[in-house]
This record gives sequence, structure tokens and C-alpha cells, in this order.
Amino acid sequence: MSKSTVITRDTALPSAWRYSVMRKVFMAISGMVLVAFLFGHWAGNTVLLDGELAFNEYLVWLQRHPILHYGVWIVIAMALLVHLAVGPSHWLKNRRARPERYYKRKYRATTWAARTMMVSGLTLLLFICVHVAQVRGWLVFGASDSVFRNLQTGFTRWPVTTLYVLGQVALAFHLYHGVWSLFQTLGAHHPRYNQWRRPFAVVVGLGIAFLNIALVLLNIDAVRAVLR
Amino acid sequence: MNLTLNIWRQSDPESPGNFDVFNVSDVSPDMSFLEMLDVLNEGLIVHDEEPVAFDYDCREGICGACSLVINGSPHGPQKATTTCQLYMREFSDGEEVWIEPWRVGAFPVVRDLVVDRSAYDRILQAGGFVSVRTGAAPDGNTIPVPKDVADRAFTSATCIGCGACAAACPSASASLFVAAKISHLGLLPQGQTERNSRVRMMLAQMDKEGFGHCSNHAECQSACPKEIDIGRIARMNRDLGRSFIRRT
Repeated sequence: MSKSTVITRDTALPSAWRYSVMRKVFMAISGMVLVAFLFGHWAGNTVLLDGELAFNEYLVWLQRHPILHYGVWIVIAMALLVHLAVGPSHWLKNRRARPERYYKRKYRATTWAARTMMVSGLTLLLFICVHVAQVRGWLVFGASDSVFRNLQTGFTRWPVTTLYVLGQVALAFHLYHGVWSLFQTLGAHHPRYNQWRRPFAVVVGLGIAFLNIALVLLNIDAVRAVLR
Repeated sequence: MNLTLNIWRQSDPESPGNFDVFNVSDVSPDMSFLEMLDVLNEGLIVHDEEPVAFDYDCREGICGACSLVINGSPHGPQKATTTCQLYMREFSDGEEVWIEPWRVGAFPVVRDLVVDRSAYDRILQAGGFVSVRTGAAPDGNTIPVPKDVADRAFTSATCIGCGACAAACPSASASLFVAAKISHLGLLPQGQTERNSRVRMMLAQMDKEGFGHCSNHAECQSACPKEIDIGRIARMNRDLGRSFIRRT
């Protein structure tokens, strides 16, 4: 079919995935799932503050509930896959959609966060890989069977802590655009509520990053000593 | 007033282009931007040089033929204005002005500042119509339409298809144009029968033409000379989702 032909009813696409708008909708839904997971993840991890024994009990409790344990694992893995299947391919297509760049360009509405979704997204992916490796004890240094001790020793190394903070900053920026954007993608646009979309994105993005960093800081003995 | 113009020159779609520098003097602040280019071209013709090719038709801001990215903004720096309605009083004496064509892969450059926007026509041909015979204009209020719905359909219908939305979009997406057409027809009773197929066909054609995908930058609504808002895009997304759930 040459480029100049017009689609007819017979050739209209049957599956939802073939429409770029629907792929974006799936991306928005998977983003919601991932954000919901982040809050649950944080809430569970507050047990860290009660020490190694309490945390190990929490892990045993999780394992005793396979629906919670594997169910959550499968759902977030699927959400991540959807995000990875749509994000980079759309980014590449968008670049190809403008083969010759503007020599002068003036932005009036877009944000820095919106234009760097790919950068913040890839930073987050790297962060997630290192984070899982740290918890599971796959990092070369200080690996043990105890998730609690793997976390503790990991955060005594500056590259791990730096990447953690960097990951949280990337998360805040990613959600600043992502949370606002998902309302628009899912069609939630109403003059009465539009004014709340941006503040909501700021609160969610900054909120989860702040909560995560605070939890890690409170787990460093030196910080706790200072607070005492 | 005197101006330095950096204008994109490109002899045909295949050959590479570059900026040519022109100095124009004695520009009246009451000229429109296109009249200023007319004066430039008259001078070029007198000196036996190739005039700058650019698109225009009505020069009243209602046809959507004129284009031009002026100093990095489609249709220039003034809000809610087409290039033909942009007056030189918006510029200052001695200013350097950069003039580029719409840079969208789906709108290939024909020559200089002229681009081929027939991709938009093909999107309309795919589904931007009502094929039931509506006959002559009906008597008032025979088909009741709530006032706010009629207003939204009307503001969507003000789209002149100029292409500024795709030109302004960091992703070179045509979403605002497609969404405006879908709302224009889909909000009114006559547009209901083809509501599902319209959104599907037009979006399938949009993807096929090689436009980018909406990333919710909202640049389109600030570039639109008719100030059509991204609420139309949200509605288009709802309509597409609806087409997978409801038959009509």
C-alpha cells in the first residue's frame, strides 16, 4: 500500500494495540499500577525501622501469602514490560517524525520533565536493576542471605547511595509529567478538575521520592544517631 | 523599520536546504508579515533573483493556507494569530528574524517555505465526514442540541487545518487536528452513526502518515491560531476507547 492511499473500512485496524493512542492508554494504566506499587512498597518497608528481626518476619509473612508475593511480582513485571514496549518505540517514532530539526525553537507550554521522559525513564530502569541486585545480594560486595543486611551494607557504599538518590530525583521528574499526562491520555479532562491535575502530579512525584529517601536515611545508623 | 531575515531556501523535496540572509529596509509597521515578504520578493524579481516561495490564500486568517515558523513559533510570536494576520508592528527595528517551513516528516517541503499538507486531507478522507444525507437546513430546534454541546462542536469546527499543531508538537503529532475534526462531527446528532468508525479510521490514517505520537506536551494548543484546546485530544482518546466497548 503506497503512502498516499487512504485507509478504507476493510483495512481499518482490528486490534487495540495497533493504535498509537491505545498503546499510550496501556502505558498510562501500567504507570498507575507502578505508582500504586511504589506506595505499597514504601508502606511495607517502614518495617525496616523496627530492625532486622521485625523485617525478616515481614518477609516471611509475604512469602506465606503467595497471591500477595507472586501476584504483585507478576503484575508489576507486566506493567514494566508494557511501559518498556511503548515508551522507547514511541520515542524513536517521534524522532523519526521530524527528520529535520528546527534551527530556532521556542517552547511555550511543554516542560523540561516532559522532554526528558526517556532520560528519567532509563535512569529509573538502571536504578531498578541495581536496587534488585542490592536487595537480592547480587552485588559483588557485602552479599549475604539477609535482605536487611544487604540493604544496610549497600547504602554504606557511595555509588549505591548516589544512584539511589539519582533514581529518586528521576522518579520525581518522571511522575511530574507522567501523572499529569495519564489524566490527559485516559481522557480525564474537565474544566472543573483540570486545575488539580498538576498539583496532584507534584504531590505524588515529590511525595514518593521524599518518602523513599527519608526511609533510607533513617536506616543509616549515623543519621539515626544524629536524630537521637 | 529595517530587518534581517534568515529564510530557509530549498529548491525541491530531495535536495538539502539552507538559510539565505536578506536585509529588508523601509518596512512599514502596518504591513502584514506576508506583505513584507511580498515586498522582499518584488525586490528579488527586479534583480532577476529567485523569489522566496511561501503559501497563502485568503489573507484573512480563515483558510489555513499560510504557514511559516517565525523565530521558532508556528505562525509567529503572537497568540491566536495566523501568519497573514501577524503585523510587522510585533517586531522591532533592526531585529533578526528566522523563517522556517513546518518541519514535520509527514509534510514534505515542496520548495523553500511551502510544505505539502495533503496528509491532513487523507486523514479527513479516511473518516472526517458524515455520509448520511442530511438534506436542506432543518427548521430551528427540530433536532435539539444543548447549547454547551453546540458551542464545543463549533469551537472544534473552527480548525482551519493549517498544520501549526503538528509543526509545534515536539513529537510532530497531528493529534490536535484529528481530535478537533472528531469532536466537530462526533458531538452532533448527525455524526453519531459513524462515531466509532470515524475515530478508528482517522487515527489509523494518522499513524500511517508517519506523524509522531501525542506525548502531552500541550505545545499544540498554544500554537493553534484558533485556540483549540487539548481537551479535544482527551475526548478523542475517550472516543477510541469507547469504540472497543460499545458498538455504536
